[in-house]
Amino acid sequence: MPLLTLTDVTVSIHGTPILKNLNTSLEAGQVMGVIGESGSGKSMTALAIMGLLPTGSTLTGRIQFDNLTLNELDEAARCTVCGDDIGMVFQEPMTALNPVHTIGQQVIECIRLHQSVSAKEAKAMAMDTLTRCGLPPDQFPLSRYPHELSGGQRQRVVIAMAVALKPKLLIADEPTTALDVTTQAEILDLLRSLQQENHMALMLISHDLAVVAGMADHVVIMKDGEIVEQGPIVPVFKELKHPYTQSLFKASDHVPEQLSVSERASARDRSVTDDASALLEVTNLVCEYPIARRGWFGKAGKFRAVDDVSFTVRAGESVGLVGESGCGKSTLTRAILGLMSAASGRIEVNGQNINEGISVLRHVQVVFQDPYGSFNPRHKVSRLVAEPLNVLDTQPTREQRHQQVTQMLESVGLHASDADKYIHEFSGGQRQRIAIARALIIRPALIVLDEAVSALDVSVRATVLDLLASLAASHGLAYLFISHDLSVVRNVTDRVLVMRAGKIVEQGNTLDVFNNPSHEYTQKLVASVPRLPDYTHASVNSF
Amino acid sequence: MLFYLFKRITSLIATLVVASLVVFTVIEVVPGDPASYMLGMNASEDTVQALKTELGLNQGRIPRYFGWVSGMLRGDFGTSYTYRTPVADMVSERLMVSLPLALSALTLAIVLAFPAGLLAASRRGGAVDSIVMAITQLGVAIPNFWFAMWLVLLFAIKWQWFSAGGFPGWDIGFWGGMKALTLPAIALALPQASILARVLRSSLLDVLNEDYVRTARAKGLTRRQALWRHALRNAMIPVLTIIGLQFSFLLAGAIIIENVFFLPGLGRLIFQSIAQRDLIVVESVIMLLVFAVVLVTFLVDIAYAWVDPRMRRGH
Repeated sequence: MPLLTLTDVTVSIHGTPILKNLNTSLEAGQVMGVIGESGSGKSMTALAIMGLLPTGSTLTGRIQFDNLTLNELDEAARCTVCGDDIGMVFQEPMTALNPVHTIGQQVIECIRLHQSVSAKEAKAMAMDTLTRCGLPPDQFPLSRYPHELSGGQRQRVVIAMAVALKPKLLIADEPTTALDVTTQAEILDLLRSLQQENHMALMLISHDLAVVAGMADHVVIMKDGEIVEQGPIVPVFKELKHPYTQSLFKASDHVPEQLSVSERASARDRSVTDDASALLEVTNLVCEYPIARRGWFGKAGKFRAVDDVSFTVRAGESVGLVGESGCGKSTLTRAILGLMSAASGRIEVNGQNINEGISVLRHVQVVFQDPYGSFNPRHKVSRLVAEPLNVLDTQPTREQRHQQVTQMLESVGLHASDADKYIHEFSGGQRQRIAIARALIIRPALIVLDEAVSALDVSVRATVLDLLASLAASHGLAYLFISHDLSVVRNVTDRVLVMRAGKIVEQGNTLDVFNNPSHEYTQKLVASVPRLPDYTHASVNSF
Repeated sequence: MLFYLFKRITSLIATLVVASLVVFTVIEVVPGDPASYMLGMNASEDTVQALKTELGLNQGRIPRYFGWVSGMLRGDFGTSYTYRTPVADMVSERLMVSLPLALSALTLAIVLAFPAGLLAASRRGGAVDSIVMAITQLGVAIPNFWFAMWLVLLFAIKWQWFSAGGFPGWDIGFWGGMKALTLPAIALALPQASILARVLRSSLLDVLNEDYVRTARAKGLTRRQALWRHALRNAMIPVLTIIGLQFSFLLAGAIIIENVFFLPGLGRLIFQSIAQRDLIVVESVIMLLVFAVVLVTFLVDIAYAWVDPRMRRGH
């Protein structure tokens, strides 16, 4: 008998159907990968199993776990199962732990809730579990608070809470999506080893095909609240029978068609034929933040976020900047946009120092990561898109503004009528298009894309990347493409800079750097990227 | 944590110094000469000058400022222009009424607000929530003097459980004194309890949506356990801020209620002193209130650090 069986599970929230007739099952000790884009219902499925659906939801069907029908249990009975036989790990390690309790308290709480053991025994169990999860108490005492740990370390605490009582089933909802690529590799290793040690069933929910491919025996592919395809991983991933599975595979490794750098550069300015003309030139840039004084007579220190960085971006060129969180990418971006002043060094655009004022800065525009937070929700799209026009010396007339907004919206694939809407009426992908229109309206030479596609689903991401490529060709744009996602950088950039601890440790032609990384850190980064195995020769019967 | 304390104490002292300068300057600017006011319209110029010298009003501003500050540090607040009695005695007598009144009103507000806020938040959208929201809406809206008059009509006049006003002093015993303060404390507490309950409710609802509450539920805590163990402490920060503000307000802002119940409190003292141009009393009481507010803010800061470990680092 399977460990977990979902029979005709249907969930609706205030009458809106969210999950439709899910039927699937998971054997003890098996790893099931659940794949889907945002809104596909994969997280809701996990919450339905845990009994944590939002208020106003109704569930029909049957969720059978062992010999219990989970959806028929009352709150008390359910709470004895959750946390004990079923553990769960969430996506956001930064917010998943209670900030006012120590990590020890939080793990111990979980143990003492389900087992009648003394405080001392619970503490020993917590220490043991944290050690197994890679946080030995001699380095990470139980008295630490979550804010004293990094994202990866916090995720280890969350995992420790989930596996402390050796559950039969662990549900991991996008456990590594918020983490850096090297940390992701470590956490996936940890999950794999815990799963094997305890012979635990694992339900791994992810949008990332490669992550699932490296872990799962069985896959479930979801779309719009339905399971579109499921089965053992090799036949599903090899044969790609279902068109949706096919499109996911295509989109996840999408390479937009691009012109060469010089062709793009000349699209903007016919006189540019020289490859070496530098558009953005950063020379020996140093950026520092003050650190709060520590202790009574401590000196106010400085943290060097960007340390002696030099590079150039040529006209029409697409340059990638990769590095893990905290490496100084964001500070560098802020400095280039003129949002923070440099401690030393120079930033020049078209040979002019950016300190010379707004007339220099207008050649550089930006698209940020968060399509939800980077717009004022009370302004109409027309005003949002037209805003950069304010930095021009000669202000366009009302008529011209309107015309330019229309033109920009159409060039990013939206309609002129969208100008009168508010931002909440758009999806994440559409919002990023609006952000691109806003960046484009004053005809910049360089657009800084700060994780601009990281929050998007693979299929949406593919269309936005295509748009960026075609705009680069038609407007002769250069891009500074900042991302932690190496596979996207690989597909869309000409050159790449690898940043670590404020320094650029390696730079060069993108394919050269990725295929033959010379710096040790780049090697580690490239090796950590989860890759889809080549299924063309895999035997379907191997499982 | 020590460094955090040190920083907070430094800012406490700095605030007091700035406040004393501001109070002194403002009082200097206010029109009206206390000496001529005390002697009445018909006093001769010589008599006024003599009194001015006696009161030390002819000295320069700087010596007067330092004299005033150093006096306060020694507990000497000067002598009232009007009553010719030490200001310190007048103020401490009034404090004996205002402080217990403020404390009991605040305690009452907290005791009422916490169960109401917790209940409303844990049954969001339910009948209990609607009832709590309706009552607290009324509590905020009703003017407290009107509510006070109803209290007097019912409890003092109709049922005669309490006296309608006045304060017999603490000489008749602790409970006797508290009995006289009961109705005013209820009248003061009602709007404060309503505000506090609403703040607690909305703060709890915010926290209940946090990821760590979901994590707690996934660990197997029931809804109620998650609320008590994980949400409440995190929801305390805005509540503590409001409690601090309310205490400061209750100490000095009870003037209307003091008038309704004929209580000799600080609020009425300030009001009388301003009317009589008894500026030395005004200065002293204002400084005392500033001190109380700054001290409460300091205590609230300490409470923040106690509640939230992230605040202990002294930033």
